[in-house]
Amino acid sequence: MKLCGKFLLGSCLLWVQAALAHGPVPTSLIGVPVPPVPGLLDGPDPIVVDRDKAIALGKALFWDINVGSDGMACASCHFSAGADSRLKNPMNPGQKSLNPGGQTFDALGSGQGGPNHTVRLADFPLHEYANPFLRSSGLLRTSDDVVSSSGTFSGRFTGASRFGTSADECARSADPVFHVNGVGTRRVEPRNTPTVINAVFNHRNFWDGRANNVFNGSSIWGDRDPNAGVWVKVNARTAVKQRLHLENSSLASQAVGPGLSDSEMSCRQRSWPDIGRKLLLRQPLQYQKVHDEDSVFAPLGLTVSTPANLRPGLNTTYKTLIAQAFNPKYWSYTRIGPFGGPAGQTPYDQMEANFALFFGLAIQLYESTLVSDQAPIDLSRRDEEMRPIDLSTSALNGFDSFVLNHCNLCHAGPTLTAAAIQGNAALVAPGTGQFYGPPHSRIAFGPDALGLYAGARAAGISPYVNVVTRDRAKTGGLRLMDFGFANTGVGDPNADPGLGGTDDFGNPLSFTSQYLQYLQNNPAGVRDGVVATVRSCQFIAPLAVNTTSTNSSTFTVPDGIVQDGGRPGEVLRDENCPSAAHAYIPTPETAAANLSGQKMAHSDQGVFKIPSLRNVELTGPYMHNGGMATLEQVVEFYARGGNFDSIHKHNGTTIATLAGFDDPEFGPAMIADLVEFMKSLTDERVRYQKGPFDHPEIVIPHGHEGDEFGVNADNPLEASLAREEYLILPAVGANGSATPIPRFDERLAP
Amino acid sequence: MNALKNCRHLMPVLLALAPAVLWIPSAQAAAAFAGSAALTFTVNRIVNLDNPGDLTALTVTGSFEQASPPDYSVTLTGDGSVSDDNPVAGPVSVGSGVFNHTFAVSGSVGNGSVNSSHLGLFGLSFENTGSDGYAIGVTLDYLLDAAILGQYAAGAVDLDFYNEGFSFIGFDHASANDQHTGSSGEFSFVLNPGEFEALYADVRITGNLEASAVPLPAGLWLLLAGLSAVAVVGRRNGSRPETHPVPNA
Repeated sequence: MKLCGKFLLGSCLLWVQAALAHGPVPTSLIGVPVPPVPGLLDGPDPIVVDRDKAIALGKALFWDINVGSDGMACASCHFSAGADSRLKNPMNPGQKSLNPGGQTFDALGSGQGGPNHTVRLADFPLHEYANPFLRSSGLLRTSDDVVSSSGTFSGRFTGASRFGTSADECARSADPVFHVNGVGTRRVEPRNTPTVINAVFNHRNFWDGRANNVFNGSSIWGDRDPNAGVWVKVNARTAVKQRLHLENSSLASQAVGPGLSDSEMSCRQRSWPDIGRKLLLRQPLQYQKVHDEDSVFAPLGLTVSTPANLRPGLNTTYKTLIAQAFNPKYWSYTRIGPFGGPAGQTPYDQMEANFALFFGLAIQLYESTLVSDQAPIDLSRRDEEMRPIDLSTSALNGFDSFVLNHCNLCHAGPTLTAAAIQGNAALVAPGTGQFYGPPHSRIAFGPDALGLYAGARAAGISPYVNVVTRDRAKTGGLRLMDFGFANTGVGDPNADPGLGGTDDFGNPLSFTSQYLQYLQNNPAGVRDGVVATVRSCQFIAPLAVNTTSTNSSTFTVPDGIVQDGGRPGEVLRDENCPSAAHAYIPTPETAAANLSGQKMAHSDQGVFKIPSLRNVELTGPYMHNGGMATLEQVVEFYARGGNFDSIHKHNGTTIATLAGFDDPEFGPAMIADLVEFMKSLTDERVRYQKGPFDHPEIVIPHGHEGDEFGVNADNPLEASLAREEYLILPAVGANGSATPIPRFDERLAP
Repeated sequence: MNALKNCRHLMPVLLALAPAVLWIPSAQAAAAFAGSAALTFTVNRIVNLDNPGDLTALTVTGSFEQASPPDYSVTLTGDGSVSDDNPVAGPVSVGSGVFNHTFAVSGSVGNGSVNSSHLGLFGLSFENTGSDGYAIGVTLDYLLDAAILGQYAAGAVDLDFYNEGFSFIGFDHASANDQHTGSSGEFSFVLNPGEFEALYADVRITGNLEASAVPLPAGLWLLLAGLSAVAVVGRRNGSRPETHPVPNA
């Protein structure tokens, strides 16, 4: 094709894309309110009485290697821009898979793989085509293995010191999957570790959303957990277990998961009271140096370090910090009470019994400070079309490309994810009189807050916390789906069901599955209350339309429809609707009769939370399976329309075909521009670990002595386990480090 | 070490520590704790609202007892030991005076562990068996003392005070090497004919110790032996339940 022809084609494609361009644009995160948690810090009887002490408690707990059964802290997997960039022993065989291959390690691009493998650039992407822009070019290799985070050796918990030894007493042995020649290696997570930075804005957390928006005080499951509750001191002689319902507390829900996970941090059969018993009397960060200028500990006078002598620990105990931070009704019961306890040992006291509450909320309050709002995208001036004009030419081109190719519809709003449901909703709420953004480019809250002409609406963002939407799947037609989640075709849905999985009680993780129960008027099938207030009129594509004509994919009057919110005890959900005709749902009978039809079709298999793109250059490897090492590989993935097709696959993956990106002449520059734009999402405070992203020293297990062919046994924990290698991160203060944290791909050998 | 600044404060700890250090065949790194709560209930005033000066129908009694399991829990390993001899005190008639008592627990270990939780139940009760009403004011003053010695040692004393209907409540606590004095403030109430009222105080003393065999320098042996001898002399002033009359308010 002649150059002018190519130019004409490219221009036409861009024009078509431009004509279709719509929706929210990436905006500043400055001044965006963190979702409120009613009852946590406010009201007549708040749970937390000293926020600063609670944050200090949370930071200590987050970074303390004593939390895990064998040296794993939360931070052990969230140490680099809130994510994990370890190279050695990151392979999981794909244990979420329904296929037999889920327990078998594959050889990767380098020809090696499995336990204690050190990943190389040649290993990526895990699913590779001859021409990365063209699936028909031929698949070079594929793997259902996952690049993730090594965690614990695990074992059966039998006890722990209250003072000294960091490792728990556990009956340990070599794992049947994670071993090299029978010598046990640390187990590895089945999904890549997402960043904790800005995660406070996510309505739910974990890739499959199982960290419920509601924190129940004791588990990750929110209102779904019938046994959940916290012990409340009613008076000096009575303590009772009460239900807790803390909204916008997904981070607390998330935090109480890994601490008991026998893949991540814990020996089996360990409980939160056991962890409390182990930690309460200890000095926080007992074995880790703390910087004398730590942004959290130093202002509170908690450090024992001097500029000349960084020393381990804080000058207090966890018990004292909890007593200072939390309402006494959660810890001051002087009697033993009905809290239970391990056989033959002292019964748990109230503080131990409620340790999950303290742990979850303290970590949540700490992570709520990890908001990166000082990236170029945040600080730039904006033109009348809300374009960030201070970005480099290349980054600005990338910004335009990002919007033109509809990346913005999923990576929406200032957090660059539609999963930030509450945060995005607050910004488009009309009439608040509030503004966000830098002083020179303040943006008014309201319908245009995320993009001109009510641009948020195209992404399904409304002033309401709407956890379900209806949108188009590539081959599955219009389908109901959890808002903020999508199947992009990264993997075979059978390799990891994601949102299609179930909770510990057999309930579907998917809110959409519950919504189907709601539509059939089956309240018992609705476990999360927020599902019963879903507003159908805010769906991207309507579920039911108040018209007498018929439609093959949408309910209409002849099918049998009713007003949304019109059931007894409900309030009509027809206010502020883009179209009043869309504020309808099928009658329960109609919904039940069409359950297997297109009109009730839903998408949940292989569906995952849409991640934020902030600091994305620092958070590789990418996707839920860690299958891509570079941002260029990510762009290529979207340019070819994903790896796998299914009826659950969101249409957004394929409408963003990144026209012209495969052109050998123009493509490289377009890719470079898009990557440059993504780099404009990096907050330099994150890159240089400045406050609030500074941290204590931490020693992180990083594979084992040897390689994937052989390891050295005789780990001090147990002779059948492999000896460790470590990654040591020095303590960093509020002023950060002189050296930037390395990108994942920069550290990879060829 | 803060504890060394106050020798009297540390005496119970040293007493507890001495056997652990001296009676073990080989030298050990030892740990010890001692917790105590000295409580004083003072009847500030009693006024017969119907027949001034007549207190014959009013019974005021003080009492103390150490709770039994599950609020008594001692788990020992190795050579760990706990001293928790706190006999029942009362009920004793207080009249319009003072009731005081000290609840104390200590423990030590040279090679093993101690985990203990003791609950002391204090009370000062008022029973009106007559036909007159009484206006009464009572105050609880307390000294909470928690002392520890050793690298792996923790001790705490928690106090919960409350009246019969939990309308007058308070909480306080002392942790490692902390002496804490305080007062409930005056609890004032009217006791009508046939009524009962009380001011209670629950005190929990916890001790947690871990120690393992580590050789000690000979000099420390001598130091600990000497301190223990001093402590024996100082211990002769044990506390017992007492009543002290005070003038009518």
